[in-house]
Amino acid sequence: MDPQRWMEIERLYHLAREREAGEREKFLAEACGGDELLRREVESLLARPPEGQDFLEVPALEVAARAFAKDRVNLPPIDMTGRTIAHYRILEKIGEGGMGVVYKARDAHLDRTIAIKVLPAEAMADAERRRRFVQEAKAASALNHPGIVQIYDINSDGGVDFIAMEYVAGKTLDRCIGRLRIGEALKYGVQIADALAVAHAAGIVHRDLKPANIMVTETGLVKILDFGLAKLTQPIQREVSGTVSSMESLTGEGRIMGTVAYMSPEQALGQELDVRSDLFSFAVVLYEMATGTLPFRGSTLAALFDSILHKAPISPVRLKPDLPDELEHIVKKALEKDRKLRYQSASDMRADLERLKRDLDSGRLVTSMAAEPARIPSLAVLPFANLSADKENEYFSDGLAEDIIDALTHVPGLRVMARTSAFAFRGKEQDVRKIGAKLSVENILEGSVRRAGNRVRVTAQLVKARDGYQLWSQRFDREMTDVFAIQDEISQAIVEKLRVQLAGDRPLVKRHTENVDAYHLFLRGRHCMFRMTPESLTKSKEYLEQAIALDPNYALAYAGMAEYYFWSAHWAFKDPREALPKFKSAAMEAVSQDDTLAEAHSMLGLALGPVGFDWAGAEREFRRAIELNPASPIVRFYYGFFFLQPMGRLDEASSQLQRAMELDPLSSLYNTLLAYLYYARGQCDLAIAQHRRAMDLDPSFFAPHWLLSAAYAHMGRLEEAIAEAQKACELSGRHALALGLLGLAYELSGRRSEARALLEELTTKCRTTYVPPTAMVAVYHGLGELDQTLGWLEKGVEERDLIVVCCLKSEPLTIPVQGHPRYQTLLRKMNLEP
Amino acid sequence: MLGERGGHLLQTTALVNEAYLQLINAREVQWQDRAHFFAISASLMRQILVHFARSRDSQKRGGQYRQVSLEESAIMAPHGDADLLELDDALTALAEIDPRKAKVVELRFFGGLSLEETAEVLKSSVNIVWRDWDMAKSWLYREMRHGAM
Repeated sequence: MDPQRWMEIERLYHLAREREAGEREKFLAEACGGDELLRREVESLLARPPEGQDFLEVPALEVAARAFAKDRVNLPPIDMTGRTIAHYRILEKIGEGGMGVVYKARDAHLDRTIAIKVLPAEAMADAERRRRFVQEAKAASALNHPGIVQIYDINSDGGVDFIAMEYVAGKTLDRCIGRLRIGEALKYGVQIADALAVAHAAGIVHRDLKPANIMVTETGLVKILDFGLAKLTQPIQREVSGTVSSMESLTGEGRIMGTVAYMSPEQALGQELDVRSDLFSFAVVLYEMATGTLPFRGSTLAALFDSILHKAPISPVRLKPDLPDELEHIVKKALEKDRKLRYQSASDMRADLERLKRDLDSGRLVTSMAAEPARIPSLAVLPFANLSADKENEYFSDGLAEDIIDALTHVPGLRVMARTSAFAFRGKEQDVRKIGAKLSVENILEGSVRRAGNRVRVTAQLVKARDGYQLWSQRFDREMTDVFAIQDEISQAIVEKLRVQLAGDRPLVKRHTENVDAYHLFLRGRHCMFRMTPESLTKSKEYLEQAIALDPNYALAYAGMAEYYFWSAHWAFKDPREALPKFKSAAMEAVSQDDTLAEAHSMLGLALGPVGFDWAGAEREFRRAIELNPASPIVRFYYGFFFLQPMGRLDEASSQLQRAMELDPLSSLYNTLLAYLYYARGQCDLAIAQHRRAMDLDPSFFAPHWLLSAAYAHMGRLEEAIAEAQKACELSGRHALALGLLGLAYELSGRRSEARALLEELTTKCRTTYVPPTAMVAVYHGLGELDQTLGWLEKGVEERDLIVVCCLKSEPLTIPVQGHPRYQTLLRKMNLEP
Repeated sequence: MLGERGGHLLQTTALVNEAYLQLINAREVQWQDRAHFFAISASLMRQILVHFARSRDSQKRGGQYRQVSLEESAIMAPHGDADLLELDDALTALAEIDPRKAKVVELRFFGGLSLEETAEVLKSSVNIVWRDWDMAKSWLYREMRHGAM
């Protein structure tokens, strides 16, 4: 076909596909401009089978399998139990696999129990194959070693081919893997090496060494099965004609992938095999015994081959940090792709294993490889205890733990408690079992930091919450300049301990700055931020400013700075008209310094949405932030409370906050604002309970009392509303927001003079400090002054009182004004749907 | 992958194994890289499956085929050897017009590769692979429909 023509067909085909089925005809008629052939060509392509009948969507292998099923009856293997072949009486079936069905049988001549392997009929159908096989089996039967299952007889009776061999009571190694201690792994390893050495000396290569071919007896002896029998599965070179019979011999095993996983690279390439191939397979077994996982893996056969041929396995010590380094050396050497670089004989490998075993047994090498559960998915990192003389160093010990938390939250498949929750246990001497139960985590990491001059000593230990059992511990003595390296080391060690595999070797702790002093200042800044008092926020700002002065490219510090301005404006510690422009430029600076920082994008989302009223832009930023760090609770929190709530999407907002709370259940801020969302959705009982939890978490935080007062007022429980508002005033030093709600509660309960007095107090406050319109709205709402209420709402939107902006749609107190045209105008001004 | 279709598992395993036997016998092949490896295995898988389909097909024509129950033939009918052989012919024809599209089908259908993997092998983008795959299927179905008539 003319390429030009083909391109035209292709172009029109795709254009038509993008259209609804009903519109295609018209489209094609126009687009083809009278070229009937072209139109018909494209149309015939579009007439494809309906979804579901699209057989190309099913992988070819499966299509072929169905074809097989169609013309072949798959006879179930005949159970030979009770029958007698030659002079062997078959007692019971004991296994299937390894090229046939295996039975326990009684040798009538020698009166002993043996095992009989009945081979599939097709295995020996080919004369050449049979000759080669029998030859190999004969050689193998000459092997006499306690580590090798002895072959007694290879014969045929009544058309049934079978092998009679030593009966071994025990189980195959593949059933033990994953539960072995290093001592056992080595004990078995030495025995396997021993057996291989004997067979190799006799010129016999196993060719199919894998755990399913290795028996372990009740007394811990190892016996290798099927020596040399692997030839049965090997095609005669170049014989790939695909006669059905040649395939039949292989079908029974059904574990092709399992076999391939243990193959050497030369075996995968179909080259001649020698003893070194067995040593490679043996090392795969050793690796698996020690780590519980295979060194080479792949979801498809091709991927598995690729791994065997081209990839270096993950180092065993990375998977299991308490493995001895020496084992790593042995395995690595035996797994060399190039056989010239491997151990050249089983006895060399045996000697190394034996030496390692001796050192371990004698306690010269210490390891604590206990049987771990296969998966440990949750962890809490407690604040590291500060043992330094100087209490000032607390920020450093906290920061270290925070950074470890941060690094670990990026690890897929691991649930890590966020800082607030884990840090609730600071300084409380609590039993790890209680902490574990309270946070519902299985593991706890705790540690200490002692700093003296320029030296720092960090200890860390990982314990099982259930029983306090120590899984791992380590001490790090470092120069203070090495702080990043210490964090990296500790995070890495924990992650490995938890058997979570990481992609590649990239450092876990992302360095946001190379300047250690800037980093320390940032930690101090962050330490102060979330106490949410005017003093702590001011301190936080000072530290962040110094951090930026030392490293002007420090994106995370800019994001922190943005956060500082945002919260200062939110709580009206600063006039939002001054604070928010600075907030915005810090947010932009953070993104321009590091576009991959989730925190920076969430700040930009806040700048665009509740501050800029560009809601579409805000959503984009929040989505990006979540994509960059889906496990960050604070990003979810900002998205839910400051984006979804003002949009009126309260259900989604609550689920984002719930998400944040799953990651950080003990944050009083999240608890308080989730409680508020319950209230906004009319679930006042839930709101009350949730506020109480928030108070328990941080009894000094005024916000839960303040918002609980609003809930009580809404429910008409006015005494309680007054009590909570008074408590909020007390805790906040008579913050305008608390005064506003106290005024509302007084007014509603008929204590008018007290309400007026509060209005007076607020008005006086206005002269000296910034009073958020939210406070005025509450009071005027109580007084029933609609005009003033609306006026202050308008002022709130104008000035970007963030509480007004975010709660305008959701706050139940605004219901009386919601029908008012001024309210509608206000929403439109914010680019929100009325 | 095929566990729930239990009955076919053994046969499928046999096929995989046969493919593997061919692979290990391909000693003259030097794998250049991962992409090359995937490409070769897809192409081998095609040869093998078509080879089997053809040999079974000729056995039947030779009159050796066994009785197939009515239900069984109804269930299996749309996915049999005939489809595979027709597809192979159609795919060869497609390769003459648009080799890249034919390659996409080989990798996806015979090699079992995902869109992403296919794009990697062909050093192309997922988008382009998706478009190629979509049109190639349409084209192949049409050819096979014609062939059947």
